[in-house]
Amino acid sequence: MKKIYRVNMTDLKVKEEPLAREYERLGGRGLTSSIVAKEVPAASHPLGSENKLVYAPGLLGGTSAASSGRLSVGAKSPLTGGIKESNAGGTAAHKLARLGIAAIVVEGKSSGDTAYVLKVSSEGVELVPAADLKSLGNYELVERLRKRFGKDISCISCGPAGEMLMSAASIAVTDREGRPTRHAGRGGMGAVMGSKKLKAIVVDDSATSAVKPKNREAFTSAARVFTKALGEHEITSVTLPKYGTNVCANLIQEVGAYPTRNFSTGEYEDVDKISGETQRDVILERGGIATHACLPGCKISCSRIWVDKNGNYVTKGPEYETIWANGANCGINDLDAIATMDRLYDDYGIDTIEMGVTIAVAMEAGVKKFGDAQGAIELIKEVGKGTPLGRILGNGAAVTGQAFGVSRVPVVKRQGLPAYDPRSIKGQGVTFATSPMGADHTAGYVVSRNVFKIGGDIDPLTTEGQAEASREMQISAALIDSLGLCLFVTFATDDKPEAWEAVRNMVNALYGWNLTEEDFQKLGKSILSTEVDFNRRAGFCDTDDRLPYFFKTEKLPPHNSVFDVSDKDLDGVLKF
Amino acid sequence: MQVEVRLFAGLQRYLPENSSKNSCRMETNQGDSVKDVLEKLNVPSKKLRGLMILANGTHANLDYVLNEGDVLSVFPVIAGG
Repeated sequence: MKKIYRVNMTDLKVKEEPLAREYERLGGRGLTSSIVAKEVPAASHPLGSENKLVYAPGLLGGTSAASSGRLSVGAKSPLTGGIKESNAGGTAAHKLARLGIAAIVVEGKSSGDTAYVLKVSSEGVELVPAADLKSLGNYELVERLRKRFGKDISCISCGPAGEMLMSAASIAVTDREGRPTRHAGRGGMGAVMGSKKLKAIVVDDSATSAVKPKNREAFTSAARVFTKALGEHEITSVTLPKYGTNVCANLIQEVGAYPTRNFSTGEYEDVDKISGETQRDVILERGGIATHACLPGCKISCSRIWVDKNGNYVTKGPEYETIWANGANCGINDLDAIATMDRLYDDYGIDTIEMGVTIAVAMEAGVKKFGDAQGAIELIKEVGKGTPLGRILGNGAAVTGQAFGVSRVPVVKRQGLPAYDPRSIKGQGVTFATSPMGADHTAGYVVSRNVFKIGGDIDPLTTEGQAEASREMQISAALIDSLGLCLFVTFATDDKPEAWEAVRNMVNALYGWNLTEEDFQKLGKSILSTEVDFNRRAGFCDTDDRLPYFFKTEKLPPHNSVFDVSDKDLDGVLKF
Repeated sequence: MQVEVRLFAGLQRYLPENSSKNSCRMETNQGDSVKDVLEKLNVPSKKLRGLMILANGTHANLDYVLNEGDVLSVFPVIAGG
């Protein structure tokens, strides 16, 4: 019987309750969105005491299923003002699941000055005051927590950016090396955590074992089929382990969709200096690690470890989005500078995508010049210090654009666009416009169909088929996010139907259910409907499901295309 | 006629000597297809089927017939994000 822990930060009490029947079939994003939609007044302030921050492993968390250890974090977002689920790799989700925990719900708000740590173990869950940890960067915080609570714990934390309540603040999760490098980045979940004065959650799963399936044989056999598919598909078994997420920089460049200098063109003349191939060459030359798993039990290992010219650790990856946002989008061509930026972001606890988009908007305003890497690093340090300029920047691209009078601000629902120009990859533009999450690439990754040609082939430059593809992929993303699976498994499952069936078979064998594919689809749709409904109640309407106007009028070189998927098509995407 | 060929994600090994890091210019004949060009570069035939091909930034297949000045971009099967 799974449990939910309710942590009330107003009266500093922790309550254990059995997982309610209505939530029994939910995990990860399905669970966080359902709880937030039910229990958070949609019109309340995201930094107020009514907001709830929900942490949940996926339905497959704690098992031996490959790549199933993602942690979902959900709340009303201070960035978008709508519902948010953000997920991360790292070590926490498997541990929480092994402890029998379906979710931790942090409620209320501490009025005092002290920061708290939530200690989670097989002995129970307790709040511990930790004034000495206040305002620490994530790296030092995690070092102290591991000394205090044991080196094998997992840490979930907000950094100074979250404590300063900045809307771009992230939540960090420690990786297998015990470093705070995996982030639930999008949408300001770190600020919600900071607003409740919860500095960290430490999870100790010693004295537990893997979650036991109801039907062990069927589970093992389905898990085997799934793992085999991941091991046979070229992308998950060769390309991603070898080159990592940044492998697609050159391809997105060649299709003319690599947003450069604040989305002013689709090609970056220095892409070769920051490409996945170059990143791998430099890492290997310097003795870093080119193939690395961010979470235990991952068979894909698409991450890496970046070291400096002397072979000393700097940061993980950085990943494709981070390199794009702080590289091409800012006109910066220096991987070492980008790695420094990534390290600062991880330490302050702030979304690398939102910050890259924000810095580019600031560059457009002339705060720094495009290409000024040192200038960008100075801006990030302003954020870490919480200076007035830092506070503007740390609240994201929309706030920054407004403060400096910029008219080209690439956000939807006030969330910065990720690394794909919607004028050249129109299917992805539909997801950016219509996802309840705001401009989000993982929420419905149509790039897969438009560019990678996985699971389908849809021309990225025409409007045909884009709305349907986005709908299909938003449903499947909601499902994947509820299972705790890494989205990258879909590169294999989209091409191999037996692998997708194996996923459902694992779920059924684990819980003793009989879900059909239709049930799976219904589940995905209902999660999306719950989120759309919350957003409506929070004040969103059809005009919030649009890209910024300039995407319709400003032709993007080299294809000179505009985003011309009709408003009617956009409005139909999430109407089931 | 001349075309530019760009090879990525490990395919660079098929570039002729003295090429720049990712690309080369090639002389081709009227009517040459992408397949013909890749075979001239000694890309093994069993590799050809798995390739992602772009001509001037839009998806093309092995039968695409080249024009003067075309830019061919060739990748193995990739995805990232």
